[in-house]
Amino acid sequence: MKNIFVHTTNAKNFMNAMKESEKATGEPTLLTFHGEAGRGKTSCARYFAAQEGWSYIRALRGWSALWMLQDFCYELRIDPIPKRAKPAFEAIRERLLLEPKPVLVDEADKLDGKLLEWIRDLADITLAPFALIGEKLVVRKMQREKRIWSRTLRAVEFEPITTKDILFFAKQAADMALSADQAETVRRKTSGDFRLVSRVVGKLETLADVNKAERITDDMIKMAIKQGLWGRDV
Amino acid sequence: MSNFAQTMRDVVSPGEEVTADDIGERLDVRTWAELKRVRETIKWMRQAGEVKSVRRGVYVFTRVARKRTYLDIIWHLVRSHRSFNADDIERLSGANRATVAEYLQCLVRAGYLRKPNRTTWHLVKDPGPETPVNSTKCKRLKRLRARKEKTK
Repeated sequence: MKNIFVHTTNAKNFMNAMKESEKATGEPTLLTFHGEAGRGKTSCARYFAAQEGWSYIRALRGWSALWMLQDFCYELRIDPIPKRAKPAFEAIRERLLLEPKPVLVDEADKLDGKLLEWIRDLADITLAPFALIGEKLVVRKMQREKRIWSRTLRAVEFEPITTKDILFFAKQAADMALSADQAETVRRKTSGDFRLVSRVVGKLETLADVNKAERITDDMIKMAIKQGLWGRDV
Repeated sequence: MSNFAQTMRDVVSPGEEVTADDIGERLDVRTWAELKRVRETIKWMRQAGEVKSVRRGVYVFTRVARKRTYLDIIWHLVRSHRSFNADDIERLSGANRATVAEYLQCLVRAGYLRKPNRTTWHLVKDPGPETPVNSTKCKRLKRLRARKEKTK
């Protein structure tokens, strides 16, 4: 199986929201991407941040306001890093006004209300897009503060993988054409978890190679699910 | 591992008219060899379209958005993962396996990464977002050039 990043519906939604935020000029932009673990939020954020050169920062449990601002300074190549909150905030403001590129904050459920306020201030002053990535909790925290929620341009939920995504993934990664019914069976059995889908497609490829099969049969799908989801209730 | 061109960019603001001597002065250049390096770098930057000549010996630096290379992408991914395997980096960077492996080995030699077992890599020293130079590639190119010279 080819080791490639497949642009699933979630990945496309992520990119569309980011592009929209870059176009939204003249207004502060906050974005939030949320969903259960294993839906590919972090991979997506890392992929697009690396490809586009955006700043990617992982929130930490013990973050204080100063610690967070200093981490932002480090990622934004501000040298030397200011030792107090005010100069750090001003350095970030200057840098983002000069180069207004998006900042992605992963594990944003760890941010408390106070830190969210700091991010809101930065978004207000610099007009650079700030994307907060996390599980459901991050949305609840943002909704609690009306001032923050009203500045949120898009709240994108990472959904379980769809049948269409499975068909696309099998074609791209393993050059394998599945029928819609077969893809639907895989989706149902894996509950749309991308890691499990990838494992099943890998097994299918091996089975097709071993049997020298030209097309994937329903029996092969059953066997691949049995092998790929070994130990699970399928 | 800083880049000399980047050091020059840092001391000249875009749109400002400067000479090689001005840049040398700002970088505290004291020897003829160092000044020669400044002139050489200006020559390369002119070829890349980043520097324009206004009149003889006077240059203007323009802000050119540098295209992101695979090394930039790999370094960004290394920093965002902290602990990873080469498969993750290959998948997300889109670079081929040999490029990823060569650059990761170079980062190990530079002391930024550690490889405790066959598959896992750990970032042990983070020098910041600026992409470290791939010294392995430089060495390989030097070897190739030397071999070419020999065969001539």
